[in-house]
Amino acid sequence: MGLTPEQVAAYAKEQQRLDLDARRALEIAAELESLAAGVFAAGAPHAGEDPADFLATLLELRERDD
Amino acid sequence: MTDDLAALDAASAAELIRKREVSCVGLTRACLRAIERSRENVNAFIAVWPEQAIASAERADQELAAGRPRGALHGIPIAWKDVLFRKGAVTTVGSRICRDLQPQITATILERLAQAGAIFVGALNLSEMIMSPTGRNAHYGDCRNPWNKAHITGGSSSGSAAALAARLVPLTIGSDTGGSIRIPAALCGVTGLKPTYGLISRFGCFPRAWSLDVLGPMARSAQDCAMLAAAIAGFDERDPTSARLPLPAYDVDGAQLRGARIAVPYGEHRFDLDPAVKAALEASVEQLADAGATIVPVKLPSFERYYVPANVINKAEGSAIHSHWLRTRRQDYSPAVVTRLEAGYHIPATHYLDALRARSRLLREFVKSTMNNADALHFPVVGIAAPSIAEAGREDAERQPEFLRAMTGFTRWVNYLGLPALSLPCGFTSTGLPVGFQLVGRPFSERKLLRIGHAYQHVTEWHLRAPAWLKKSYPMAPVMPPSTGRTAPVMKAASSEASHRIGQAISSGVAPGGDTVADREKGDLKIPGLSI
Repeated sequence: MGLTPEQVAAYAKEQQRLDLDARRALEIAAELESLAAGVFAAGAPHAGEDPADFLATLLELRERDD
Repeated sequence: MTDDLAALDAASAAELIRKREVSCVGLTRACLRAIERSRENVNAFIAVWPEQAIASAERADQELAAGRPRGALHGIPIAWKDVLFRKGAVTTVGSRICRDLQPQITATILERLAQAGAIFVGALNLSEMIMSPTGRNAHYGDCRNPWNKAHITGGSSSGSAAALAARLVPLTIGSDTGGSIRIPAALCGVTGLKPTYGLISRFGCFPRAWSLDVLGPMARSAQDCAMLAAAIAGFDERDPTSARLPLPAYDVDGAQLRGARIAVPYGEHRFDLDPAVKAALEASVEQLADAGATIVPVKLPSFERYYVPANVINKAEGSAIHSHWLRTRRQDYSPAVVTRLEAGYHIPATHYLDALRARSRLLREFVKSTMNNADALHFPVVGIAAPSIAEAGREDAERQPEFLRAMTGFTRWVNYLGLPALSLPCGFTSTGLPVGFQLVGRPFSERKLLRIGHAYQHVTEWHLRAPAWLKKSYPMAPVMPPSTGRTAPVMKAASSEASHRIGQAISSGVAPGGDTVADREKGDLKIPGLSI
């Protein structure tokens, strides 16, 4: 199944943008290293890696009167 | 009994049903007739179930006669985005691939709606595989914006918003992975709630990206959204990401803006907004302040920090979901969907994991900084009014990434942080297209958002306006005179008083304000509780 020239062009452009996204994501990850250090020190290196952990954070941050 | 009933809001309809002034069958038939009439020009529905709906409505009337109402939605017609599984029924997900998909389970949300007494009338149009913010669909036809049928509705919950704007049903369900409830709500002039991740069960819902997906209520008012949220929210052991927490009563009666603290970033930040959208957003801030809310200027972090990882998760999970079909049935996807799916295969696993790992930390930082001194953040939904279908058609070409970003840039970050957000109508462009804003809240602050939204709608009338062509569909509907100002302090949200007046008007054919049919031919129509 071949791609049309339009699909190829769109695909290439998306790849270029994704590459920028990926670099930005790495920058974000770097920013977070200092925060992560605390998590590792606390003995929970897996924290935040799955939706259940994220849900726990949401629950922790909710306002009690809500 | 007239088809005017199809334009009733849910709160008023429920009250009239409770009082036995309107029958469940009468209301359901009115909605079915409206749906049939709109089929060609709005195309909001993929499937309609008239026989089942009438049978359910007859049962509902019998239960009421026997003094056994099921719940708050007893006898209220409802429709949902065609992503929810119902045993024995087809769930198309707006695709050719799932055209014959007959699930063997029923979604928790549908079970709860049935328990609350809602009448299921049909499944709503959406973007193919929940994958576009335009709402266009190559397989089932484009859903058209009731305010201008040459324009898109926004998506992906296109039918969910259009069915409300066109007064086909009073309540709908949408889903939101990057703005799919809020975008069409804003572009169609209706109200939609993207709940906190984990508040509403997703068991039995076709996924778009499981780390971001939520299901949520859509209606014409915050009050109706609250009514629907109360029926569907809550822990579900079949959804592993369902939050186990006590639920508040989603009551909005007596809500006030006085005391509410609204964070507003305008002035500090330059958003890429159409001038008409910008003016409507600024006016809505003034209206909130005039009604007593405290406006809190805030400095926002860079939203790139949230948008980029959201995009990584969205693409990676979406591509994983569709891997098998993309290999075996590639030709059954439209080209635009294939392009988006293929991009996900080029995201390194490390980036996906980084995006997930960063999430809790960024959420904590956002809540403790931006939301520290506020109940809600006032924010754009889309920077432009609904583009024409022709303009949106260019989505297939190389413009796709930029177009997607323009459509979802203000909404996708909210899904990454898992926060709740309520989209509210706040005005119109000079060409008559709706504009909306969103209120983003702290985790699980839906009750607060709905109360602020209800109080805002108590002093404004944008949510009561309806497309002018609907006058011909509901000639006997009671209406109020056209508004002369931006705000209408005398306009009150649907109440028992409004319902009483509506009941009287239905009997007499005369509007509560004493208007005649001739009066109604002037301008937009609006009445609290009966918004056509």
